[in-house]
Amino acid sequence: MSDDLPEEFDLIVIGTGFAESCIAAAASRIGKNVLHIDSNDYYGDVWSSFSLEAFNKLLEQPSSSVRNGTYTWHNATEEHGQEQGQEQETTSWTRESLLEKSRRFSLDLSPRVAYCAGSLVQLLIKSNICRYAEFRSLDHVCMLYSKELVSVPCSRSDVFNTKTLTMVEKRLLMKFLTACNDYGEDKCNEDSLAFRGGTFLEYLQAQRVTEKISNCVMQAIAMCDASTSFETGMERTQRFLGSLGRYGNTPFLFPMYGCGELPQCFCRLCAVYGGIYCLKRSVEDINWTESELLVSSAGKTLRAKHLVSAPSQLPATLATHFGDPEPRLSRGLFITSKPLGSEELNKGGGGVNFLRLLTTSGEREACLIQLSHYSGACPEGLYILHLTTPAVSSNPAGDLADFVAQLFDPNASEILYSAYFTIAAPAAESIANAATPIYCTAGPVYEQDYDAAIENARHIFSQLYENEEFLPRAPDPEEIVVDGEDPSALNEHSLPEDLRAQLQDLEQAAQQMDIAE
Amino acid sequence: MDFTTFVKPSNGGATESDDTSKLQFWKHVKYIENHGKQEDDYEYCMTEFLRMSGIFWGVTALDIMGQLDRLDRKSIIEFVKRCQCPVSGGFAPCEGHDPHMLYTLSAIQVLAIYDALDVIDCDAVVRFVVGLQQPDGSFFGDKWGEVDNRFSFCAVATLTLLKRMEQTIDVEKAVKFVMSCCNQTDGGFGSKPGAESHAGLIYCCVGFLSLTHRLHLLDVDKLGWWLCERQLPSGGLNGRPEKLPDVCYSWWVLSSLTIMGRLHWISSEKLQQFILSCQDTETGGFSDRTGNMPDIFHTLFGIGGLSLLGHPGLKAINPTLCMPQYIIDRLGIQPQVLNQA
Amino acid sequence: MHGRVKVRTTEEERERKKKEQVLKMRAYRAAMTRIQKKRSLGELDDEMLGLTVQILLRNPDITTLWNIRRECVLRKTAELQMAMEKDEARSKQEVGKEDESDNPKVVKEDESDKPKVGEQGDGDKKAGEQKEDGTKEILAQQLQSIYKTELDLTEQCLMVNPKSYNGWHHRCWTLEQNPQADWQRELQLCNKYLKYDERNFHTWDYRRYVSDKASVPAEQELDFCTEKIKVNFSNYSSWHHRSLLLPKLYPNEQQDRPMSEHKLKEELEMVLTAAFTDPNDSSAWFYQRWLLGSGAHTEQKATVAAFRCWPHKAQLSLKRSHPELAQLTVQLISGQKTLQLQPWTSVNSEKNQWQCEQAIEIDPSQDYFLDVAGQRMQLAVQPSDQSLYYFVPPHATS
Repeated sequence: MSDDLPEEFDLIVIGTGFAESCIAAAASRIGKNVLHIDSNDYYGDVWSSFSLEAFNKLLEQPSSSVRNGTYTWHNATEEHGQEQGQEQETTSWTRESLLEKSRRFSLDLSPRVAYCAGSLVQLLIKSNICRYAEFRSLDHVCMLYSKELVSVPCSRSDVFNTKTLTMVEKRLLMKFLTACNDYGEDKCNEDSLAFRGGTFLEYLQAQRVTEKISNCVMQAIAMCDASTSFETGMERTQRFLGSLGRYGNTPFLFPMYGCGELPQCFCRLCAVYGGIYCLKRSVEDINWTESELLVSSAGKTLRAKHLVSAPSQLPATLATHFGDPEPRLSRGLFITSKPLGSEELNKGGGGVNFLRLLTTSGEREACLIQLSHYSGACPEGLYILHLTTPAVSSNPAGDLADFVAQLFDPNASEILYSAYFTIAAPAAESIANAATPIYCTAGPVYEQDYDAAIENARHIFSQLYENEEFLPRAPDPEEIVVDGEDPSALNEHSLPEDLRAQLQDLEQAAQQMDIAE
Repeated sequence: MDFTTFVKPSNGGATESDDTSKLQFWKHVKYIENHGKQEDDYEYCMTEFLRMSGIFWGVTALDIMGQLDRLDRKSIIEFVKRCQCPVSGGFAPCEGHDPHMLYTLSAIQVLAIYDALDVIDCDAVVRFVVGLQQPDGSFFGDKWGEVDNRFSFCAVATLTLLKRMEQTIDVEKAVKFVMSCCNQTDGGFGSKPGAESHAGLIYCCVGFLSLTHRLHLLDVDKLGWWLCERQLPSGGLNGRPEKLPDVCYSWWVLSSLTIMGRLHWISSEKLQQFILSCQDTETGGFSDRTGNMPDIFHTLFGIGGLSLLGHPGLKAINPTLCMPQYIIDRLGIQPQVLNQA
Repeated sequence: MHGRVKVRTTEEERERKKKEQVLKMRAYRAAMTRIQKKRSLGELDDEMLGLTVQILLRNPDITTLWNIRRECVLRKTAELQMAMEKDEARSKQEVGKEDESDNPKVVKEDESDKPKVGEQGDGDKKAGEQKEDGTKEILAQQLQSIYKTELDLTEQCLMVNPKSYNGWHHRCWTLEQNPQADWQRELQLCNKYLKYDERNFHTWDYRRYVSDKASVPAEQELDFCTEKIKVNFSNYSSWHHRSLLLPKLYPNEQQDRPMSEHKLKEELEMVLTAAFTDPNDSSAWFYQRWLLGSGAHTEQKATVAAFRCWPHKAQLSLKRSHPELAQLTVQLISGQKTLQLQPWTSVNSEKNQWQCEQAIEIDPSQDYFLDVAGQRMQLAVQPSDQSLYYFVPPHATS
């Protein structure tokens, strides 16, 4: 296939991760001639999702960006005693039965949720890429309160219906959130002026809310710790509130079939605007002159005005320019036959739940995304638990131990499978300081949404194409008018289907009756 | 549904600007005058099914503004005449359509304003109305059997204007039916027994009781409270709790409160601001809410509302019949109104 | 993928819209003319149904077109009924000759332009003896399909305009015509529409009508209300519906409250939770006021403010106006003697002052009571002229 590949491009993008795909789509959208390649045989790079088998294989073969991988089958030894169990209503899962359904899994390397009014959703809507994607609104945002997993109320109805808050607490919570929502509208809001420069916790305490409400706000809504400043806490609270009531009951969305779908949406748009795609194609060497970059790949030399790459996909000699990959995220992934929390939290087989966790000392945090089969990411009756925390060591299991202990007993019989791994990438400073004409993307960081990744893509795009709009709205197919056609010349064929039929019928009838036009 | 929707009700607040702070009198006159002059206007063509009411709205609004002579009296009367159904005696909205209680009242109102009730067969109209009363006292809208308190109002209003209420319909039963629609929760009325209270239907029922001199049957304080709660921070009035304000409700709520002697329970000043903010300062006419497209229906209710609020330059309007008060006086009709309390 | 893409501007969009409107208007006028012509010729046929559909789907508020459809339905169903009766009559005397002389003809004549019925006419001829049950079934099916067409149309129209009085009424009318109407299906339809707009009062009205027809137990309706309120408690429509059900389900013996004490407590708890969650929500406040209000408000009681009677007349003053005094029994009681006072004439426009001219025998040594519609009060004697009087005690005046 490499034979008929053109040799000159405006832009070559190496790696199909989230930021790279955004840039490829944005360049293609403004008419640039784009080649998008990836050394892997799948899209998404460290942002991809995998079948169970492929996921295990990935962990077995460490790479520069996915390392320290281990996985364990918890129920393999119990297989013997479960033979009769197979026929019971509750299926007993074994290593074999899980692997049999390997392809029904969509296991994310870098899972995250998206705020309904956040930058990802805005970008998807603004650019009209949303028609390639499908989301599930999260079912519950949870918090841990005295070791219990409880749902955080996300709407007036939730507050009204919840049994975990007393009538007075309901009033306090609503009052507090209303005040946060109004904050900033009235510039001389005297009540809150005093807290500027202080912490959000101080502000919250001054509102005389109960401990339960304080927990609810700090853990789940404002996503703060004790040291978070008043301004940041307020901003996050408003972000949460501003995403409510848009799609579904919570402020979050999760992509159906896993986050690996998202880079592909951008690739699809890139392809629609003429971008060329080559998977399983690696780059052996890159050289550059004043005006262009020469990319040696599969025995061919390709020329490009610009080059964007994921650091992990560069030839080793060049990759070192950008610094050695460092552990970024410590990840844990569990497959269980029982969801976390009460029946109430998992009605009808459960949906997608989100939980932010803090270590007992409150210094570190992690987030948990629980997926049921309604997310399209696992077979019915099974649940995926994704745990993510900023890496503090090269031992992901160690980094996550505190959080796991808060949630479940890893030896419990319903835990069928567990895996730990590290996502690594060069430090941001070394990428920024690299002295090459190659623009290198930053890789995943710890965040709930995609803000940093999008900002990274937007920044690189603005360096490449100053003054060009980043992903303007792409027209719907029916809006596309071929050049030269007079758009105001309305012919019958541009009428809506039903109206056209009606008109024909009626004009026929009118002719028969000699009705003057 | 979310935290934010009630914090910032999206109810088109009155925006203050020079253009909307005062009544664009002549623009409205022009708007009504031109309404329907372009036969090929799409909206006009597609609303022919309610033309008779459209004429009533335009004629009344112009008369309230003292500009009735801008319309051609003769051709309007001719049009109304042509719409009387020779078989049933009721009026159709326009030629080629069927007679209906709604358009019968509009036709009678238009003729009453033009002092031309003698050009039609009034006995036939009375027959039409009387024939639609049911054994339970309710009224059909036409022979196809829809029951609604709107039709009870239309029936007594038509008969009142024709001065034929006595010995035609069974007033006692009609009252009984309307009162069977009174809701215990708020003292309001819906379209039929058990139906939720709605300002439009409350106007019909309060108007009905005013015409039949039965206002004492109302729990005035309870209903008045519910009605004055229709006023929103923008000054506009809605038709039911948790709904958006609409200029036509300013008429329905306002006229009901006026009939019940409780007009002072709402802020006239703020309502006036809201109504004025719904003017289309470009084309004239009023819309339902600030910034929307104007139409003839909301234009009458905007002007009618302002008249009830005592806006200078407008003739007084009768709250029960929504017609200029001088016409009602000329006819010697006295719908019941309660004293201010 | 070549050629640059171009997004249509709003200017072009306006132009397009205008042209579309002109076409629509022409189509509308042509169709209306045709419909009116056909109606004047009595052609209430399938073409008529087709023409009205085209317009109604765009504007379901044109009452006349619904009327025309009803005329068509009545015509068609009457024809089918006739065919069914004939079919029945024939199957009764089936042993005799095949009486096909007039029956198929009637069908053929009237239904010449209706392919379905025409086919069935042919079937009649061919399968005379064995398909009699089948024929009846086919006719019954055709009858149902006529109703189904109307229901489908109203459903579509109500999607376009869920607040169309005409659409809802035509639906009711159609169901009333059909003795085999499926009311359960209608209930599902209500659920669907209320999900789409939980405050549409047309749908709520229709729901009350349908649940009555389908004999849905009040408990079930109450559960439905509770669910709706859980979804959004700012749903005055649902609180209202609830207020109709509770007094029926949990009657209050003393009538001093709208429902039993036990249920009242539960309702208060719920409505207070709503008020605490969002004090700006007025639905809850109205409902709460109703809960705590008196249940006896249904009657407009005539309360006596003052009464006086002389040997030749009686005067009654009421606290509030009460024009139906003539319908109440007003009695003067002393010992075993009861005197009915009537007729009463009102002496003021407020209708709270009444007078009754009647000869009344007064014995000042007796105790007298006045009884107005069951309320009894003792009268005092005015010594100067020996008249009897009653005056409401000052603390009881409101």
